[in-house]
Amino acid sequence: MSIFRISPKRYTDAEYVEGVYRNDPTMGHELYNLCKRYYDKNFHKPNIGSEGGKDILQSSLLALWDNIRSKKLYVEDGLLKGKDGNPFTCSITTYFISIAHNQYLEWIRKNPIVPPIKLEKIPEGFSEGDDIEFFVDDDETLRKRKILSYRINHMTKQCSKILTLFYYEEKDYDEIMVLLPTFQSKDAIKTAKYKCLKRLRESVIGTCY
Amino acid sequence: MRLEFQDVIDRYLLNQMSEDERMAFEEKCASNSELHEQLEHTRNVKCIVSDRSKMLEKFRQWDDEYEEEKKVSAHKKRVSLYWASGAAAAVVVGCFLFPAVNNSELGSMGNGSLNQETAQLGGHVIGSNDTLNRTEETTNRLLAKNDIMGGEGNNDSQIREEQLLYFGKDTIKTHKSDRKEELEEELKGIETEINKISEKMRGLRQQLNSEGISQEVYMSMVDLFGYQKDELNWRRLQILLNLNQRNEAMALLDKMRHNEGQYKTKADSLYKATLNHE
Repeated sequence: MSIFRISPKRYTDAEYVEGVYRNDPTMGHELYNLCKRYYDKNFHKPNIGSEGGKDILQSSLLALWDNIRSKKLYVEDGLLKGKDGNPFTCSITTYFISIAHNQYLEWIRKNPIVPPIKLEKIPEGFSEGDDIEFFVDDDETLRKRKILSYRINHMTKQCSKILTLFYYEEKDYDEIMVLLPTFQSKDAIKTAKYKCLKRLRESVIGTCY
Repeated sequence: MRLEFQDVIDRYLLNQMSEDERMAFEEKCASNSELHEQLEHTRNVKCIVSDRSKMLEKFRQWDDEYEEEKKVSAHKKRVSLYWASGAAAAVVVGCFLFPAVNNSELGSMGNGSLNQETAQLGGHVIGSNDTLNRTEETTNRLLAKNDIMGGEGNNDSQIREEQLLYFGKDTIKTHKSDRKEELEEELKGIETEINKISEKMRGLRQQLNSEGISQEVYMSMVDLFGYQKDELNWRRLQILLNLNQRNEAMALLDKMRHNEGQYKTKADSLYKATLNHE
């Protein structure tokens, strides 16, 4: 094993994107490490704290993975391409940091510790930093999925916890009551979960129509 | 959306229905568009939430590995720095020692400086008073001896075997009886120091467990103490060989060749060469 490691192993941006798209765990891991290193080194925003930094990193990574899997950026003939099929003009790390910047603005909006950003000419249901063009898709089902995915990534922490515990970890209401002691009864959890689902549905409909 | 639909939808999606119940529910969905739409929406949410949670789990795992790799990398850099410092120090000492050894009167009772001591040991290795006249040959043997005793000399195995033959034949004679006492005194001192270091390392472990110090500090101190112990043990080995305590020396060599340390390889070579010679 080499003691001296001059620089981390690198792949081309196209290899990273292709690997993530094919669900290759090694390439996923490599891209994760690349983005995290770049983020730690280059993304410094005042007053968000380490927790805020972790939240933004996490949501940026989710957004990047979503963008790759929904072919917002994709590889064709070995070349990395963006929207409209044009060659991608920046590096994957620069792209990632631009996502992180948008996520930071979203985070600031939810956690106002600095003066709120002035919103101008933002369509109903969106805030600054949303990439509206991302939701454009000829396939309506796919478009709805994209919007729903975006909304889920930006829902409140409580909704995120309830839905994750119920639908991913498949915990029953008794177990959820133990894990989320703010809820006093099973009915309260049921109602909260229903409201989360309803809010998500309304936001999708509101964006589409 | 209706609250009263949500329970049955959840039971269906979480596979909590019997076969008959599932069929009945699917038939009802086919004839009720509102129920069908709510089912599809919940199914999409379930799918996306599961996918997202799996991604987050992966990210958490990768993050732990990333942080662990950072720590290991920092630790390796420290170890390599110690090696580099040690090698640099050895080169500097060697630069001073080589001319001093060349110029010294062999076998003379000097002022206890390192080159005098080495000269005496060199004379003892030869095992015969006649070789005191063979200055050049003895100097070469001293240099080669330094290699096996931790110096930066030639690694030629032939020379090493030859030295070991001398070790083997030796009856280490001291010119003065108090020289042997000096070495025995030094040996006791070394053993006391080693015990102190072991105690310090135990103390460090306790501090780490009680979270008095961080893992990083603990690892640095362990490295440093380990390095010091290795140095002391190597010196101890030299003294044991000079005092003709072969069993103790071989036991120590055996221990050193099994422990991860800076003298592991040398201890292993010397141990095997000694066994071969016997």
